[in-house]
Amino acid sequence: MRAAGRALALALALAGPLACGGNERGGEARPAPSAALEIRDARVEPSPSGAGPAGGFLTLVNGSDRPWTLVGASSPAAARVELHRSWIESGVAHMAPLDALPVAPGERVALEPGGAHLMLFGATGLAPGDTVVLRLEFADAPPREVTARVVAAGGEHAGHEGEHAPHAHP
Amino acid sequence: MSTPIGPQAEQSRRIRWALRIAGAAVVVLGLWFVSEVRRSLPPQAPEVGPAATVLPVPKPLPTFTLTDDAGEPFTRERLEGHWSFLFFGYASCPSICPITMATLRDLRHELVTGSPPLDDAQVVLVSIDPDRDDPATLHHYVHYFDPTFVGATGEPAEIDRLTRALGVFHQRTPGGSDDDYDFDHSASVLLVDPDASLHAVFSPPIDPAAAAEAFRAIRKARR
Repeated sequence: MRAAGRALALALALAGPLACGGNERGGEARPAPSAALEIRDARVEPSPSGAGPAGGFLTLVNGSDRPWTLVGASSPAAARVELHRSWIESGVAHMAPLDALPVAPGERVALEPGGAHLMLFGATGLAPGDTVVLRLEFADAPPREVTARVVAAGGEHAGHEGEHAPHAHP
Repeated sequence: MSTPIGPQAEQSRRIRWALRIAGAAVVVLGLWFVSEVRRSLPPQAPEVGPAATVLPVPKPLPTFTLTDDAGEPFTRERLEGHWSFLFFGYASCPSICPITMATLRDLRHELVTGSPPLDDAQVVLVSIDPDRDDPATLHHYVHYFDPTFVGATGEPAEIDRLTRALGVFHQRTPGGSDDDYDFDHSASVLLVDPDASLHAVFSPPIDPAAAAEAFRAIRKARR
């Protein structure tokens, strides 16, 4: 699985400049083709108490040959959105703000419960079935808007150990 | 077989008695020695598998006074007479706490639907964030996961009486903005027995089915 991922990353890294070299990107050298940068499975979990921040979760898939770095987010449904990371070390749960979440070329990083996540402050009155627009800011690519579906917290992830727990460093 | 007569007979009878007494003494000493050795050995916790760490000797909890999610006092007495699963967290924790709360919900489901069904263990979330988690907030939070769950919090000194006795770590940390804060906190679930003593610890990641099985084994061993 991991080897296949590396092979794919390598193939993409090699094929990228050949395939997209002159024509698709034209003279513009910097930004990666947006089609190669995918945001999947965006969802928002309202706070179970109704009082705390909602959690925002999604998967970033970098099919380009360049790094893709999430540095912030906002939403019309929230007063502010922050990027955080949770982790458990020696049985202790930690959480800290995250400045940047890099996604290496050919890699994917999941923002999910127990790992990196967005926190939507002031996002009240959300119910499963609603949708929320998230605007994601990147250090090395144009911002992107995605529509996240609102799902119940602790539902589908009960006792679930993420297979792509991101080990991002601030 | 002829019966020996005279001084030789008397002597052999004495020897036989001496041997009997010596034999009895050896048995008594041996039993005493075995019981002493056994007493000097550390008590053995029952084998319940890797899901839980059982304390060799249950640790009695001190008295404390918290307030539950209905606004009623929550004291040591509320932990007496039945088993309790305790978790320390806070309602505005958006990531780890909901995972643990959902795990506890699934654990309770395993117990209630298993064989034999066990419906007498309570699940308590103790909030380490009394400033933000008033009874109404806690009520919403715990009931979101299971209507039988209890939420409790109180004065920091009272929370600390409990966390110190249970070996639960918690510390306030800066959040993403000035008016926001988070907590680092133990992600373990603590099992308190009907004597209100810490009996076992479930460390993350907790598998609800494995934890339910371990709990059944712990109850059986204590009986």
